[in-house]
Amino acid sequence: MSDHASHDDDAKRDDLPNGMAVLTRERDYADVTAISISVRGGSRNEHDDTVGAAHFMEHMFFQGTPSRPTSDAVFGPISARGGWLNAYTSFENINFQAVVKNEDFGLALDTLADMLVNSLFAEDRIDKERQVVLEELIRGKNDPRRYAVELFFKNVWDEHPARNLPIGSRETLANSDRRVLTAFRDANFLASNIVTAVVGDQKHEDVVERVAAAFERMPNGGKPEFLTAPLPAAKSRRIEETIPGTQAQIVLGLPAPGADHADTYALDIVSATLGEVGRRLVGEIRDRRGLASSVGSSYSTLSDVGCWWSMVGTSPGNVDQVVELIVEQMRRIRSEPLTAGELEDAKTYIEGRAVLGLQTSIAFAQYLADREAIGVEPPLDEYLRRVSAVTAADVQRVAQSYLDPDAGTLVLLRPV
Amino acid sequence: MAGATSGSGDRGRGLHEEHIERAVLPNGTTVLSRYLPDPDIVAICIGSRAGARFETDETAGAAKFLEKLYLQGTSRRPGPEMVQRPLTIRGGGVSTLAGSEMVVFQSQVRSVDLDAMLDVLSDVLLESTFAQERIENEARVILEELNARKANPNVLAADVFFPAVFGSHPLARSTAGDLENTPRLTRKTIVEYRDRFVVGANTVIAVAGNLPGDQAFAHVEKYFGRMPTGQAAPPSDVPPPPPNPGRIEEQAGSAQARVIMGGPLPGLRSDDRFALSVANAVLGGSGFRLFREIRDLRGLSYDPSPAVVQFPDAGLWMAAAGTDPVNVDTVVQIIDEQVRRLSDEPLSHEDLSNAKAYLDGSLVVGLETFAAQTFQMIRDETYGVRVLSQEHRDGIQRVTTDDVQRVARTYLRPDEATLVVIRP
Repeated sequence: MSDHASHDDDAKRDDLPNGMAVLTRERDYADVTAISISVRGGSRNEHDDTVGAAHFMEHMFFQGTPSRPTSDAVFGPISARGGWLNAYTSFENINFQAVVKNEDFGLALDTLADMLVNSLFAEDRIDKERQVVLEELIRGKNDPRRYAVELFFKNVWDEHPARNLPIGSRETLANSDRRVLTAFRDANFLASNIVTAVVGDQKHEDVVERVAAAFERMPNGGKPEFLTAPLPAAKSRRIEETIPGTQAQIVLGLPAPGADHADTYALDIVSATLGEVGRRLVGEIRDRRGLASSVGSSYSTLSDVGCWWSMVGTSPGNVDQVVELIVEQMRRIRSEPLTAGELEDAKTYIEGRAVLGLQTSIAFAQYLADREAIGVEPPLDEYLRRVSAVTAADVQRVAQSYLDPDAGTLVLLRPV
Repeated sequence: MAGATSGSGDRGRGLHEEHIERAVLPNGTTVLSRYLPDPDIVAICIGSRAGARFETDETAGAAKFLEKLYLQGTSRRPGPEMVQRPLTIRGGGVSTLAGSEMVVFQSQVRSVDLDAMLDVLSDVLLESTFAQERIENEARVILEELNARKANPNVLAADVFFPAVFGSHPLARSTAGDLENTPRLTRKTIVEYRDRFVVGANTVIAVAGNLPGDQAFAHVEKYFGRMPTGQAAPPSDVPPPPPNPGRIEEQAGSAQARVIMGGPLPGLRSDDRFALSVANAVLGGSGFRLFREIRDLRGLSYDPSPAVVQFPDAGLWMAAAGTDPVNVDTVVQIIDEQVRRLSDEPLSHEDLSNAKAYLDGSLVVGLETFAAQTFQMIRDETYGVRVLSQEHRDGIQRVTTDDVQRVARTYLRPDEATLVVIRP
């Protein structure tokens, strides 16, 4: 494996007196600065009857503060400089982010801090924004690929708290009133539970000073409890639904360990071999037989749980053949060790991807902030060292442990 | 090496034309270079003036075939996995894209892997075999893609809207392939299309990143100098179509309706592009008028968004939103009101100056990566309209509130608009 000194992991870190961690990566060549603020806590920490409240609450941070009383006042000044402001809510964290020209860093930071510290959560704005979140929900249902993945995630993890998806449902969103939203906020939006990462042409000391000033009034209160759960057992399941249109969607996968587990590195190689670099699935299904326009292999991880899955969209008449081809490739990676060349290919791919994939300032800032906030994944150097230590026997062993085709969760959406 | 202008490679804030060096190879290929030593990456984007608008009824779908077939095998690398492997193992890959006006090849690597990237890209461009058996396979893949497009209402809405607005203009032709004609295209037709368009005199190669200009030119000449010269494609100069007022309803999706309203515009060569960009920014990016009225005040949609899409000789404006089916008429009415408002009411000075600053700043934020920069470089060169020039920046700054009102009255007319509604 080549020397990976060229990648970009030398972030500097300081912890503010209020407990917030600040990470920076100075890029003196950059034209833009990205800010990513990651708050630990997401849909897996929600109550079953109000799932979706965390994401709904995230929307409310864009609805006004005393000094920026409307959404326009929140977004407008940054947009009018060509920058952008956004947020997402995931299973175990919520991330607020901005990308601006270097000279607008102060404006973006002050806006984000004002949002996080002072948002009003006005009742009338909550009722209006619930409608927007419901529109977001039905928009997702309209996209068959997205809907297939949601059904898979809801089922593959059995009773593990990760089965609660961030978007929620009509019922749980109706249950999420101001009291529910502010309870989630007050439990999790504590300085010691937040990481701010800044990547751009900014000096570390200057960033630390400005973040400390901007978040001076951020409440503090230690680390909220974050319950982990054991890895759910794989169980054979088949979930079938009908959809409009003329294409069927297939997702087949199983639960797998999360980022905290030693097997995570070998599973990255399993997924890259079936997917991007080894092309085993795309080779058999698309390149050789033209059965699908897109074929994916993914290994997704949360801190204590993950899943491997393959996804294919195909004509209804090809469904059985495609499922059989996926199963064949799962069996093959369990029964046959990778060649030395295949193993090396997957490793250099993962290393190169780390450099090219973290090229934009926001990709790198988000990677730093989420990694630190969730607190399980090692730094990039160490992560790549562990990937490079994986052997062909490791790959075969984890495939045997986690890719049993007889215990898969199969989601099948067929046209009406 | 003819025509290399002096260049600096100096670090500027954003990408401007003065940072770009330029040369023309003996085979007619235009080469553009932007040198910046950090990060230690090199991106390449290659564009030929080809695409759906250059197709005829007989060749419809040929450009989409090029997008697929260029990645299916060369004499040295007889299969898609062998084409991709040298770059995939370095964390990247090569991608192709066929649009209306350009066929594009893109890749990026750490600079230590530059030769591997050039070797693959030149092999793909110059030595792809277009084997009969790959043509048959890729026809099946394209038909699967067309199926997938119909299953997603957001994609379907655009696929209905664009040809409805462009009418008999060449830009009406779909870039996604053609359900009837794609399976009928022969190897001979596809190869003729390729040999007509993917030639030196019709191609621009942009290189950005950690590679000084003289080295970029030498590398490109070494790897692409043997591309045949051929001829430039005919100029794109078909006047925009007249408006096509009316309402088209189709059924797709399971939960949400999708609305698109819009109409034709002049192309990028018209100086009205400056005022149209400002008008579009006021509806969206900086003024948020659609967002405010549809989402922020009424909660009717998650994603209301306007767009101006322009090619050299014609373009279109559009305003799109997904919404609960019961709200379709309300959303259409609000779009109608907000578009009309641009004609009826002059912009405030604040709206105007915010829009200008937005257009200026988003060109910096949007061009952060070398990959984005090379794409903009070939687009400017291929279209012959230079967004990266001082002239363009001056053009935006000169726009007045009268200009915006005038272009709104001339082009942004809901009474003459095409309306597409897709319902579950």
